Amino acid sequence: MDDYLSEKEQIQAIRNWWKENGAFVIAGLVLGISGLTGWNFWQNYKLERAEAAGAVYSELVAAADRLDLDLASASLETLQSDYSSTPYLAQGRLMLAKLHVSRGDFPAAADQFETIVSQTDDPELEQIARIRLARTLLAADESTRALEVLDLSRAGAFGPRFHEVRGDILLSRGETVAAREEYTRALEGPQDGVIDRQAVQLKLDSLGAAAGESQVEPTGDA
Amino acid sequence: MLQKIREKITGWVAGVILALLAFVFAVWGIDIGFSNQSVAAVVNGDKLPIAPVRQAIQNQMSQLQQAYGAEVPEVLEVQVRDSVIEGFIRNRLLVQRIREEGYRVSDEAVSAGIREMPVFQVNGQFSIDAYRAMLANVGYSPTSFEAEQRQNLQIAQLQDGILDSAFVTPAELERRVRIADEKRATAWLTVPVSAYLDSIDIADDAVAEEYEANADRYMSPESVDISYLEVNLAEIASGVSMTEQDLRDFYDSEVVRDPEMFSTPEQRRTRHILVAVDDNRDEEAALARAQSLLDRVRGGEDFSQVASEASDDTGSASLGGDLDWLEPGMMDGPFEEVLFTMDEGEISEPVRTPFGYHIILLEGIRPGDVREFDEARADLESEYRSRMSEDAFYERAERMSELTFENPDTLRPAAEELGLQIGVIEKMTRGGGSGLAANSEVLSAAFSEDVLKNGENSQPLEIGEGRAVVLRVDQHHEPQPRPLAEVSEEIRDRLQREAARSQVLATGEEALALVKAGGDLESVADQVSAEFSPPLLAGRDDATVPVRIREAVFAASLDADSEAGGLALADGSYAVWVLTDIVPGSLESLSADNQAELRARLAGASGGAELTGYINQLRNDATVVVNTEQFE
Repeated sequence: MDDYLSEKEQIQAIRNWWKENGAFVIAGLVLGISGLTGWNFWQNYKLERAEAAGAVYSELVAAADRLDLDLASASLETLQSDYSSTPYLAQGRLMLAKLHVSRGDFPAAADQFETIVSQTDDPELEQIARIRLARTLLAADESTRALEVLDLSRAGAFGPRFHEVRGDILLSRGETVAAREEYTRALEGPQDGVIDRQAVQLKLDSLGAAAGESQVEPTGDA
Repeated sequence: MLQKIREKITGWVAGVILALLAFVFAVWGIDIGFSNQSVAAVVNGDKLPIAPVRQAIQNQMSQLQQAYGAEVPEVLEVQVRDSVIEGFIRNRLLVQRIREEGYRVSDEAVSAGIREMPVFQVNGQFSIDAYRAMLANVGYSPTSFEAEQRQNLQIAQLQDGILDSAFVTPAELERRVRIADEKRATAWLTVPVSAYLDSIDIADDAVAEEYEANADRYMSPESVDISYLEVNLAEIASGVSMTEQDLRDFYDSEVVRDPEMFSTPEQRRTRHILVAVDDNRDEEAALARAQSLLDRVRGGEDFSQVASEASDDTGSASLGGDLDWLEPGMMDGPFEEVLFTMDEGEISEPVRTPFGYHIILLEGIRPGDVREFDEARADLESEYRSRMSEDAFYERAERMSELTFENPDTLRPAAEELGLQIGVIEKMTRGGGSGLAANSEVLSAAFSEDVLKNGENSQPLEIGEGRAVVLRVDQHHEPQPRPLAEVSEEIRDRLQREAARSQVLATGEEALALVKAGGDLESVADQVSAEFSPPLLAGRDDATVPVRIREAVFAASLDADSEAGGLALADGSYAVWVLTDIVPGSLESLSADNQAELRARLAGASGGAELTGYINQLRNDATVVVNTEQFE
């Protein structure tokens, strides 16, 4: 292009450019704006869905507080059918499972936890569900499955708690030595609040001194 | 280059580029790459701005400072800093998690949460004015505050979901009670160290031997003799003299300088009726209502009657609108302006303040008053005295500082010029003593390099309010062996105790062997002249059993090998215990209330531990870089 065009020629050049490319520019703008609108719409839609799911979850919590199993189960079904992509489904299951536990229906509680373990995309919530699953399976006299659920390679930061519950399970099967080992390992973990150390120590102490160990180990000052 | 680009920007390329640009700017705004402020840490790619972190650290530090009353130790400072930063990191991790997972709290819930916060309430009602003012005060915009509240509520939703759904199974509860409330039957004997002490004679030779062998145990502590000068505000104050004329001149200048000190302000007895302007009532409606109330009281209805029935200021409404005596400066601007131009008995037109419309009744006036010289005399004297003595104090402290700095080897010139006595403290140890020697500033100055090693005068030290001290060390006493005569009692005691301990141990082990061989505890106790404690049933926290014995008994089990044991107590006595029975705790022995309470407590602990694990796991998996330089 020439650097020394007259004003008229410049205007003509711009006109020509626009004639050639105007359609594309407008198409680009339309595309951009509609993309943006669509994006915003999608975001708002997601927020609205989440808020609606949260409302159903609140109803479930209230029903569970009143021990109203029918209503709580109905709310969970709504979450499951309409809001399965929100975190409120898994939270709802936790709450419903607690209601089952308080009614002594451990298999039903275990079902909920099992579903969370297989479906949630929140990895830490999955670990919590695993621990609760194992405890309810133990209460339902399914100690073999309970032990399988607490696969130590999946324990992560929950290691000491996995060991503690494994200890509980093993003890219920009469495997005192193995249980003592699990409690000991639970206490060897970091002191970061994942277990109630005093409670685990009590469980360990209650098993009595291991054979061959000295039973007198004074700690602290008299 | 540009030329080329211009040529290429044709056709669909131009369209696509423009579309992309429009999209990017519209979605992310124009602050891309613009946030270059300091960061405290980067958490999974998110930058944490430093200002709030610093603020939080500062808040905690000032609380600590109040608790300590002085300098906070550096170790503690580092701990506080690290834990605050860690808290921010964990909070950010939770924020990221709620976004990924899609937790969402509605606008209504956010605003309901804010409305319930007591700080934003006036007379028990949410006040939008108070809300705005409070936020402006701490530098928040309502938008950012609401966003933060929403975040907090969403995090709470995640956390409460875990906590509130926690449970304890019946078997877990039962086992817990069985173990924790377990009682054990035990008896024990004690071979007391005291019974052996008196019978042990320590020969002088042994004392001398110990003195030689462990000389370092028997040294006098390092100490210094110091001399010091003190300028004391209280002393100066008691020496201030003043004439009648001084006081009168002082009065004349002070009345001009600080009239409030010599006058009592005018007071006005006030009642009011408030018609609030808030979400339920707009400006116009409020004014109309105020006007109609005004008509009623002007029309002869009793003001206090109307106030107690209609005023929105619930506090004063119950008192018939009474606000007691008001002085200038106690009320809002417009309210006050009107009140202090009213006549006694007058009722005002509606007055607009941030709270709404007020109708004011002025019931009475107490005129202000100016105190004459004679009335104010006592105050004047003390004010004059403190003013004069403070000036003199700073002047003299300053001069002392100069003179002791110019003559670092002696306090004498300063003492002479200022007419001060040189005080002396002898044999002051690093541990301190009483009076000045108890002061940590004094101690650290006396044992500092400049003063102790180089023999210089110290810096001026501020010893509390109104006391300045300069000190120097006259003599430094290194640790010295204490003379044998002085420490021989101490040595004898120590040796006696050591000997007694080994005798006690021998006797105790003999007793343990007898018990283990099947001997009855009480007769064994008789046999070795030990004290016998008869059998009792004790829980884990039962203080009637000495703690070490209790621990041993609860760690034992009911088999031949471990139902008896022996141990040394802290004072050197020896105990032999036997375990005779174990009684498990039972759930049935707890009341229904206690059972429910325990169930809730165990479920809570279990949920709390799970939540901790949740956050710890997030933390372990996160990529976190703390910008430590920012906190040096």
